[in-house]
Amino acid sequence: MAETSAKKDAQQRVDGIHAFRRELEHLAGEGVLILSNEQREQLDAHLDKTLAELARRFDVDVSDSQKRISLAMRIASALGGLAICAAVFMFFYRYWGLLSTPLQVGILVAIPILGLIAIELVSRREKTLYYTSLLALVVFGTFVLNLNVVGSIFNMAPSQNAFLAWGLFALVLAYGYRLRLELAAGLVLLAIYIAADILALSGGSWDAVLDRPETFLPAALALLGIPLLLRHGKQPGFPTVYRLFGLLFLFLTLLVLGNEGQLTYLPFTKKAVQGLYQFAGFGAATMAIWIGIRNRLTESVNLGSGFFAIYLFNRLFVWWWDWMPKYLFFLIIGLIALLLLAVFRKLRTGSGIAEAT
Amino acid sequence: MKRMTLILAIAIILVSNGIALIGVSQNRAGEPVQTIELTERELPLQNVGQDNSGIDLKLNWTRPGSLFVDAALNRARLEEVGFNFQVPAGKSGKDLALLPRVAYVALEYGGQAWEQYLQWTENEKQRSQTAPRGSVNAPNPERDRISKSRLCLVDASRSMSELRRRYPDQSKYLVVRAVLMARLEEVKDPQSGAGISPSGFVSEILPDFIHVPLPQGKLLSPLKPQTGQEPRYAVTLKYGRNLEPWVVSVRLLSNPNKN
Repeated sequence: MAETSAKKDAQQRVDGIHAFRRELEHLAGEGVLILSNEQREQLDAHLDKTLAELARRFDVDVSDSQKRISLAMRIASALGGLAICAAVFMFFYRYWGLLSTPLQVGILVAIPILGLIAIELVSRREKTLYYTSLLALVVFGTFVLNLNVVGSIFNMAPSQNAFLAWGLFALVLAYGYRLRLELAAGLVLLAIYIAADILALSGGSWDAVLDRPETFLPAALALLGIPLLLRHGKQPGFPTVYRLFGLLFLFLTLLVLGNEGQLTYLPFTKKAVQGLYQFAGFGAATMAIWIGIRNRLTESVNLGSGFFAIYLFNRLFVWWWDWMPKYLFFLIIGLIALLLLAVFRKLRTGSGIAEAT
Repeated sequence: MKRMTLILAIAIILVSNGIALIGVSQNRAGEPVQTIELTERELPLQNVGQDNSGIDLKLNWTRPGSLFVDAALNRARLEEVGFNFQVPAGKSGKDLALLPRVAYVALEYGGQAWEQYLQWTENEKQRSQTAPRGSVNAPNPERDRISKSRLCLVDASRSMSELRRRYPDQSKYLVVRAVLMARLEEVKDPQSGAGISPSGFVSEILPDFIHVPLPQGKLLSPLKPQTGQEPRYAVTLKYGRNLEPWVVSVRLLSNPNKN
């Protein structure tokens, strides 16, 4: 969850050393390159020393089992954070009725501030930031609780502005401590805020954002544009998160409007709107695959391919499901899947050759 | 960098809470916009249990007939709050997905609309007795007479002052913000052949949950939520300039039949 550029480079070097050792074994087995015992001992000593040094300085995973444990630690950190959030929520709701209003507000404001100070202290003591990440999730949850309960205490009408505050707070935590989960939460909350604000400006009730999915398009385009405009040297994983959520908002909007054309601002008939967004959906998915292959953006290729398939099967279902025999429908789906496999295989081979040369 | 993160994050917490509390003090500053006493019928207790010690009431209002039609919201009223029922060329009425809108609504308390509702339940009860079993949901006017909310929707407007001008009696008419939804249905007009019929309804009162703080909450904390019974308490609410309510007093009803 937390990753610095130097740590990422160190992890890549560790992975490279393991690959080098495996290839050396193969070459020796095939009789292409056989090192003398002395050379082998010198090489092993050097590589072991390098691995130990990298592990000491950057706390990277030097073995497969360590990698698996690291993944488990990240999952435990996220689940632990969510569970502690739930515990704080439950604890507060159990006793808040016994407190006077000023005390309720004081506690609600103090908890996230104390949590922030705890994050600061903990983050100074650990390199891996597992506990920092867990605490950040809890602090973010307590800030959500804070504004939510203050709104309830004073019987305020719900407002989209809370999403702005939560989104900015999550982004500050994400950039300050290089936390991708908080970045994702912040981007989703800010996208909801922008969509709700557009809806309110156009005269609707802000919480009906799903009634006009087009309100998510500005946020989607902004998320896709930010990695091009801002360098993330200290947060190497962040551009991927921006692209991932930008594409998700874009593809989901196009998918909904391709099926529910009445939910539009456009002054066209339902059928025309659906046709337009279906065309845009296929175009956007193809573009995402093409740009992803050219720029080696795995998330762009994967999401583009996934949504291309979803758009295609969605159309085939709408067109054929009712009148075609079911066996024939599934047979055609199977054949199309084979065709897509062949196309992706060709693309894969092409990109592999391009990268090798 | 880390220190800046800390400062920024604390600033967001303080500024957002500050804005919220300034809004509260602006709402409550000066004379309240309206003051009204309602009973448990209109403000029933929400489910409370061991896991939630807070006390919340829900503002209930009564709607005769369909869940998705408020008769008071006719075409003129809906257009006044901003709904546009003009169907663009090439579109049909069914394809016009109108956005929910926030507007002001007037709720009449125990007046003519409530009497009409009771009459409607009597008629429905009689109809259910003659109709085949199960074809009509039998209403219960006797139970409604003692336990149902007597707040009924009578009007809507984009302007709060306009509604208050139409309904100046604060003890009888409650003006609140609400989310309104509207739709067009294609109907066969026996004379002209075809046409569209707009209809609308209130989907949510803003806010519909009302928190009871200490010390008023102490009176209500021994009570459990109930349905179909006579009211046990009355609550005086004040609404500020943002139409956000707060509880001023709570009193237990010794003789509920009189309320």
